[in-house]
Amino acid sequence: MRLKVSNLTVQVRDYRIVDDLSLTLDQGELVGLIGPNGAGKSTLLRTVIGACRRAGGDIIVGRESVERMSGTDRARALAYLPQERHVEWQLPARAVVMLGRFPYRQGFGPPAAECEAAVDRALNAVDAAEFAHRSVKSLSGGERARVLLARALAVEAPLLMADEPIAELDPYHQIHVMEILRSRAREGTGVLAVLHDLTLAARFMDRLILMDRGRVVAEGRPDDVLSNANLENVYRVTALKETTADGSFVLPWQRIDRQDQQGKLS
Amino acid sequence: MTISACGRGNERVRDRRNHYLVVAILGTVTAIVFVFSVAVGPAASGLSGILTTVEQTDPEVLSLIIREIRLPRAILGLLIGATLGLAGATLQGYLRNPLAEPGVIGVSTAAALGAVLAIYTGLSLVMPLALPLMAITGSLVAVALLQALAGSGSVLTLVLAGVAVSSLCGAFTSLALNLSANPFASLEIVFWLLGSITDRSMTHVWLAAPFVLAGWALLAASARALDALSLGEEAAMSLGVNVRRTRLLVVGGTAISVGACTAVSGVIGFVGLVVPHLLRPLVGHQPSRLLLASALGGAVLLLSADILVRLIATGTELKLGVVTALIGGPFFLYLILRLKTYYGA
Repeated sequence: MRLKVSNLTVQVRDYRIVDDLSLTLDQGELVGLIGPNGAGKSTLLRTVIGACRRAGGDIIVGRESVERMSGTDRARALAYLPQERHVEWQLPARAVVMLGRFPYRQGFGPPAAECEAAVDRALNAVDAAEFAHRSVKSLSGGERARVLLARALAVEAPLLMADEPIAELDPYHQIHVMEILRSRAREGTGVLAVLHDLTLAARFMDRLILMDRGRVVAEGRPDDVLSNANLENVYRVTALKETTADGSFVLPWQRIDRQDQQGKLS
Repeated sequence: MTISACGRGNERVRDRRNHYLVVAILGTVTAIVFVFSVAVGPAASGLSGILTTVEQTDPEVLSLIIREIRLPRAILGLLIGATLGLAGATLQGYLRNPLAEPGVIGVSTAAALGAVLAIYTGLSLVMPLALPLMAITGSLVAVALLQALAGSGSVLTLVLAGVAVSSLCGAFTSLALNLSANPFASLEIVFWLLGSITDRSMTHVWLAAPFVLAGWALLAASARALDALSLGEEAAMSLGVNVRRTRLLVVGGTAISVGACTAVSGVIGFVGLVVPHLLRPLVGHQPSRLLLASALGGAVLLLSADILVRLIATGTELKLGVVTALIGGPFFLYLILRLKTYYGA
């Protein structure tokens, strides 16, 4: 299964939020979608699931165009973890994760054993089984983020898109979530995650896609994408870079004033 | 209670079996209250009274009273209570707001305006059925307006459109009262607006029932989507929920069923707010499970309030809408206080 976005344009009045953008996501790869605020990353993901209207371009999941697929078929093929972490009502964590099985359930009867098993697998994957029966409102931010990730994992779709899955998490849980995403990818899921943490992006991702003003400006191996030129031109920061025996890291260090940057470019 | 349990803790949420038990208990209570509603009236008050009346009253007279007066009243109480409970639970689930109720989208005020116009123009005197028919028309016009104003907008746009429709209909109702040349018509309008199910016949039941049942079907069809919507609209869409279709079901179902109820009873408030609130913790907070429970709870509350109206001896009969507002108003204040404590405001 493959997600193929070609020449996608999303427009609000005259402003193009996503501008003639193309990308692919294959099963088994872990891809980071990075870029400054307002680059159009979340809009891209929202457009893929049908929450934003597109002005042009195609989105193909597997062999079919998304508009020809039923909502249920698309949901089974492509799971999505939105940026919004709010859950209304005091649902038990397990019931929230069970919502991931929504595309497989019909009517109001008790869930099939298969659904229960998928929910157990998802809860175990994020180490949330111990608080599965607690109300999601009583959980800490980190616990809730893991439960919501489990909800997306419980779909067990071949493709997964996660919008800032590590936002608001402490370092321990950030690394934990990145490990979960990596292990999912190793098990065959295609994972596309929007990230702001460049160090974790460089460390965990197989491939990075750098977006700026609605376009892809660089794509490839993390070391290549996170070049000094890209960081300076797109993020407008300088960064400290270091390669150790365990891998390399990128630490954004200093802001570049736009005027300085323009002077430098001219 | 919803708000108090928002705090951190190890509270365990009740499981599925409890939900079936809650529905079974509510179903039984509804049946009992319904029987009471048929049995209680000025001709007999209290259980012992019923027995005495059964022994003393001419069986034919009693059967006539039950068939023509009490049975339609009890059936309407059941239909209206269930509708308000169901529509309240659905709207709270759809809008993801525990303070929502059917009035929030303006359909009851629109139906009331239709009825008021029927009284104002004198149409209801010429043809009694004109009143409920115009009320139903009012609610359908409201749906068309809501759809035109907020068809593809956000949930907030829908609520704002509801407030606009509601205020506009309220203004026209006041205008009708203001311009009414006949004081009897004004009095009739005011009394009708208070909400009551006294002196209704089986004709009213037959008139309202098809719309009410159709509305229930639409609301019930939105149930599963409401569960997914507790994660927010985007997550629900990604799970395959058609958000537009869900809105049509919720708004259309509420308008048809609540509009038909308002058409035969006048405006009855607070049932749709109070009942889902009270029952939510008992069904594990799951929006879809709340619907049936809330429908039954609404029926119990409305039938009980209607029995209360008959039992409280006042010179003029208390109006049902007044009693539900007297119960609901303080409950609403209590909710606000709880919210204030919770948010520390």
